[in-house]
Amino acid sequence: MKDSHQLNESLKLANQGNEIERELLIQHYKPYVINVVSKICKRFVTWSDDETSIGLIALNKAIDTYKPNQGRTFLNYVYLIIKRDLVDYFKNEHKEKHLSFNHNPESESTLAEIETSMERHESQQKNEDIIEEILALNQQLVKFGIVFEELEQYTPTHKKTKKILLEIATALIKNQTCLESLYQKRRLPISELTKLVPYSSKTIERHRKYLITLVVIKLHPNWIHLSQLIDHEGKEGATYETSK
Amino acid sequence: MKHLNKEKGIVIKLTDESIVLMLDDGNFKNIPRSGEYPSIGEQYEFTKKKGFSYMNITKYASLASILIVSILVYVLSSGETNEPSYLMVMDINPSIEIEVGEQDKVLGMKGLNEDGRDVLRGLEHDQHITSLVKAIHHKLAELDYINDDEVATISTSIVSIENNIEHHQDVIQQIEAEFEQDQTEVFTNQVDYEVYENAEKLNLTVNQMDFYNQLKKQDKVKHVDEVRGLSIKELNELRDEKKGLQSEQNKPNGQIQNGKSNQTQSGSKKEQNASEQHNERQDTRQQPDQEVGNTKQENKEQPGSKDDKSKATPEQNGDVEETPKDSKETSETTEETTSQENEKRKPDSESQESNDLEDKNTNQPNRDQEVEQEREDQELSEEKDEKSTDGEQEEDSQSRASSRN
Repeated sequence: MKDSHQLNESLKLANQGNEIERELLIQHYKPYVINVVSKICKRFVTWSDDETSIGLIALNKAIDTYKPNQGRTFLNYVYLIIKRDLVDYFKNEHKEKHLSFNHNPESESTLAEIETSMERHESQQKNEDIIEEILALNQQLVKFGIVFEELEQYTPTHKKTKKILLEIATALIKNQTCLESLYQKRRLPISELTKLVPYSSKTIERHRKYLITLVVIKLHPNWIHLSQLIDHEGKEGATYETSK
Repeated sequence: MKHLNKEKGIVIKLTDESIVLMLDDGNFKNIPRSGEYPSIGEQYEFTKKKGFSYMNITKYASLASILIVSILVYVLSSGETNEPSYLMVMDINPSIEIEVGEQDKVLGMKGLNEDGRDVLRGLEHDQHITSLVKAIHHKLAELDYINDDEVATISTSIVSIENNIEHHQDVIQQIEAEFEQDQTEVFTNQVDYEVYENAEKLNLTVNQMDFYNQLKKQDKVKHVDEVRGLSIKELNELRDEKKGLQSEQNKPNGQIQNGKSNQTQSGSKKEQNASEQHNERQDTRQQPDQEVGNTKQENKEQPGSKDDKSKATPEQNGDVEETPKDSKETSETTEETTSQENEKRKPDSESQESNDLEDKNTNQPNRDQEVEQEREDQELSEEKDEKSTDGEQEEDSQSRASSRN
């Protein structure tokens, strides 16, 4: 995740012509773009849809024009730009029927109007940080060939197993060689891990992608919300057991 | 508890079919997307009910399937254990039949005659075949069927119900090993269930049937009734005798066993055979010693290989008529001690004459009986005088022989 300072630095670099930095930013926010486009279009879109291209172009534009001092987060700004561009696009293409908000005749989508709706959006979405965290997590997991939707099948069903996996993740992070091996080979060093912890390789193998996710989240304590969710699990497990 | 059915999570991705959530407990969950487009990072609430009930169903289903499987296993396994995999039929003269199931577990046992029932009395049948054989061995010794003074002869047949020949060999070896320590002659045999059924029809045990078949091949016996009730020792002696001269050592044992086994018709038939042999002896006395050597060798081979005997029968039969009488005499004489002997010997002399007839008629018991009766009558008149007068058996036979000559 990029905190506001890092983000501003990246934006600055991108604006100064650092194409790599720009590409990194775009990659980082791509999942957000497609999600926002889907939400606005009220249909599921893929990367081959026109609307997503417009979203990406809007993102690129946002990188150029974002001013950190105006009291608006970058995500908020990106949302705003994408929405405006999409509305313009639909108008031009006469596809208004697809857009529910166009039923309102007064919706001459001025920037101001959109901004007010953005306020609502903002209020609904107090957790912008979470989005940043999720996007960052996604970026990290892509390196390991993990996509979010497959994590469900690696998720432990029993609280006990979850605790064990947390323990394994902690042990892995503490062991520098294991951690290096994980990041170099993009694979869990299972045999080394079994020496570190008293659990079978089968357990590790069965939950390996979830375990990598745990490790990645634990390596980024600045992802407050996600870290909380993970820790929450541990506490929850504890209270659950005591309440029982 | 209602709130348990609702779960909250943060939307982390939308896919074509589902919303990927990271739940409050840190788990990941894909839930089907139904026309909604929540944004990333949004709190999303969903009812767990569907998944919950589904899980319940799977739980119950798995429980039910486990139950069904275990019931099936129980039924099948119990069915299997109740089915015998083989029968063990043991004859000395006490005849015993033991039903053995899987893993050599004894399922049941019964005495095939009064002596057999005596032997089995008080034995537990819920045990392994090896231990039961041991117990039977013990009981046999206790009841004096086996003792140190004499050589007992035991014939055991394994009747296969399930074809597991290798395993049966193991059992046979165990039985042989069990009785090896004693001075006991053990014949073991493995037969099919068909043979067992045939034997049952003839009211013989499998072992008796085996001897009967051999004796019949050798023309020593013409009818089943002649074999019925004889002890294995007697049968064995009968078989060996006819082939050649048998050493006389075994006779004392034979006497004891006969004494026990002669209770019914069995005794009478033995003696019929014996009397046949007497007749032959008289004819063949002229060729004595050479034959003895031959026959002894043959006898040694016999216990292991019954086939040899059957192959050798034509020659032996030839010999028998001429030579081996001496050995037969001695063994037979011991048997003759009982009072019934006289009657039975007589038919034998005729038996030679009517061999052909009898062979044809063996399947027709009525005719046989008639023929035998006739024979008996004739022979009675001829031989009664001789036998009744003789005090000792040996003298008996000698006198007979001399008189005939």
